[in-house]
Amino acid sequence: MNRMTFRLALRNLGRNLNRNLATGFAVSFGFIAIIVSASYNSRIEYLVRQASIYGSRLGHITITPPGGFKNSLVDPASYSIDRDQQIKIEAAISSVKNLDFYAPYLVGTGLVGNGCASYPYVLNAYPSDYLHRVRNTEGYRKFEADSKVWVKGQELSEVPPQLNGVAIADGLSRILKKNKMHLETFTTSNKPASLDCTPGNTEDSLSADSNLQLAGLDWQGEFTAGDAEIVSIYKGYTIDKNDSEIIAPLDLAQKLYNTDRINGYTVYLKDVDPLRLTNIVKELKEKLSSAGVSVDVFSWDDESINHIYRQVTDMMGGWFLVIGLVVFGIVALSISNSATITVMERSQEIGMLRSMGYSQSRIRELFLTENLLLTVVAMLCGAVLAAIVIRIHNQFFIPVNLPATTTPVNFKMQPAAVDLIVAALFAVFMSIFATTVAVWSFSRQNIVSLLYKVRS
Amino acid sequence: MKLEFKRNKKKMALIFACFCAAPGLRAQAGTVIVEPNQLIRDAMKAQVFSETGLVCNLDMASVENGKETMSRYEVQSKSDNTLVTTVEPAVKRGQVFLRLKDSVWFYKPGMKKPIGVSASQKMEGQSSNADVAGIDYERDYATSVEGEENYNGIKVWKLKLKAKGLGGAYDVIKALVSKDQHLLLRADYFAVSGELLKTATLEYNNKANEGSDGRPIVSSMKIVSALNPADFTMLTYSNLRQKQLSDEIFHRDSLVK
Repeated sequence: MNRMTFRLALRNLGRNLNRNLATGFAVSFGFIAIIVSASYNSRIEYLVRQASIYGSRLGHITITPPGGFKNSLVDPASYSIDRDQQIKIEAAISSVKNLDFYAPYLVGTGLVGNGCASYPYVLNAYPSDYLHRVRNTEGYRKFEADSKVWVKGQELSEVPPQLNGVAIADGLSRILKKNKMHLETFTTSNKPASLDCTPGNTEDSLSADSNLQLAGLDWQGEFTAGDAEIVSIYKGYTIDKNDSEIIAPLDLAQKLYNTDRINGYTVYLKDVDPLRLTNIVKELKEKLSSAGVSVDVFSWDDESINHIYRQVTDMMGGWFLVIGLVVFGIVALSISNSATITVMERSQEIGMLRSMGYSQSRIRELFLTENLLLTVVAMLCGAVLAAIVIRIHNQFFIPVNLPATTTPVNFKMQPAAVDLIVAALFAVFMSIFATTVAVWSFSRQNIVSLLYKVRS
Repeated sequence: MKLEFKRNKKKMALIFACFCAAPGLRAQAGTVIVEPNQLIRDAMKAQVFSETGLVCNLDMASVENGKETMSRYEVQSKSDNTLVTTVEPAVKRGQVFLRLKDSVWFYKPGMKKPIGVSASQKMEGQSSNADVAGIDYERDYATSVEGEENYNGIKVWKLKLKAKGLGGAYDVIKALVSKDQHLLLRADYFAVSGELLKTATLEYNNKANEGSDGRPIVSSMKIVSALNPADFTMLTYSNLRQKQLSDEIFHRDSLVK
């Protein structure tokens, strides 16, 4: 394309201003629609991803004994990792590139009591500094800002181990009527308040101290129980966790369940694309296998451990596909229509250019330049308009509750470069295709018939 | 006149049939009319139970997955309440299960408060808290007589106990109660799914020594797992003695030392 062609195309665009404006608007609004729907789609994917890695504390990679992820809550002792294997696994994890940190975990169930009544709990135990480390990752901070999850009280690592400090989910603390933490109820006598369990009198009595009792079966099948102090209350992200979860230091849980084993590892990486962990997982599997350790290794988005992510992204992908096809269809028809009418109206011009010696390919180039120019300008305008819309939209906190979650997330638009590129390439392709087809049929006609064609 | 008599005869037969078939009130077995609630009430009196106070030792021997364990408890019972204190092994000494009328509490020395636990919670081996601390069959179960049979040469009533609500540790208990002394000789415990969980067989070689009417009292109960019959727990009651027990010891707050 030379400068002359470009100038001719620009001038011709001005000659059919109304129709070209209509076409331009169709392309612009189609492009905006694509960007907006793709931005919502990306946002949902991002939110569910962040909720999985940071909210549910799956980490980027999870390591469990074979079958352990699904069964460890029911039979934690049978799906556990002994000390020898722990050493080998930790050596393999330490050699992972981009490792940020890792932590062993243990799961357990039982009854938690407030002195008057008991309720079922699910216990997740990690090293005492684990929550602090997770909450200091950039990913968690972003997730926290988006989802309005919160934590109050002390870090588990800040309190002495003999206190048996635990973090308790907000929903469970309400069920137990225990809304105060150790720092708020601490007295020098450290003696729990006497209880009046008479219905109607329990509220103040129960919340007077932060003491809890945990009971269950230890890993040898014996009944076990122990005290715990609430040092932190947090808003659990999913409803089930918020109503039942207790997070305890690993030492406390191992003492309660009378074991030195664990149920798995959670691994956090840094400076990696969370959607491209296949190679890292494969390498880790090979290292563990060569170390003689038989375990399952999952990336956070593996359907075996995170079917919700798969279901949500598949559903959103389906919606986006439908919306995309409709918008693409409208844009494609607009471009094709515009190109065909333009060429039809200018058949005499084509005839004249042919009589002046312009070749068919030169004429196609001229029309192609015009339509490409129109498409590119319309897309640019659409992109600018979309950026303005997104910027205004993202100024507000738009609360949306995702399924089975406790707190609304900020439903911002999050445009993804790949979606923009695909949409732009499609529009350009349609422009080239429609113009080529329209001009092809006309430029092949007889010059005389083209020159005497009457405008309809 | 004859027609009227025939009509009355039909009415009387109908009333009699309704009376005999009244569910939950009584059942007809052969020619003897039995009162299921009375049967189960009598059977409970032969357990470790006393209105004024009864103390005994309980030795528990379990085999589970080939592993043998032994433990010893002191059981104090009065009316609806039972206090089971661990004596051995030493690491568990002082641990207490307290069954009050409608709740079970566990306390371990050092804990700041006791914790409420389920009656169906496994205590040791095949035994649950309910097995050791006592089941109130009359209060928690609707009893019906299903028939009679010979069990080890003893004539017994076959009873079906269906849990009334959430209070029952088991959904259904099928029990064999001797016809002569109304002693519970065997009990099959079923889950809500209808699956047999375990079977208990009981012997009665004890007698409460003071103020008792000389009725036999349970001396042993063998509980065998239905899932793995090699797993069992034998509960042996010994040194039974009547004792005036204070109501104070059967209080949740008194557990915390």
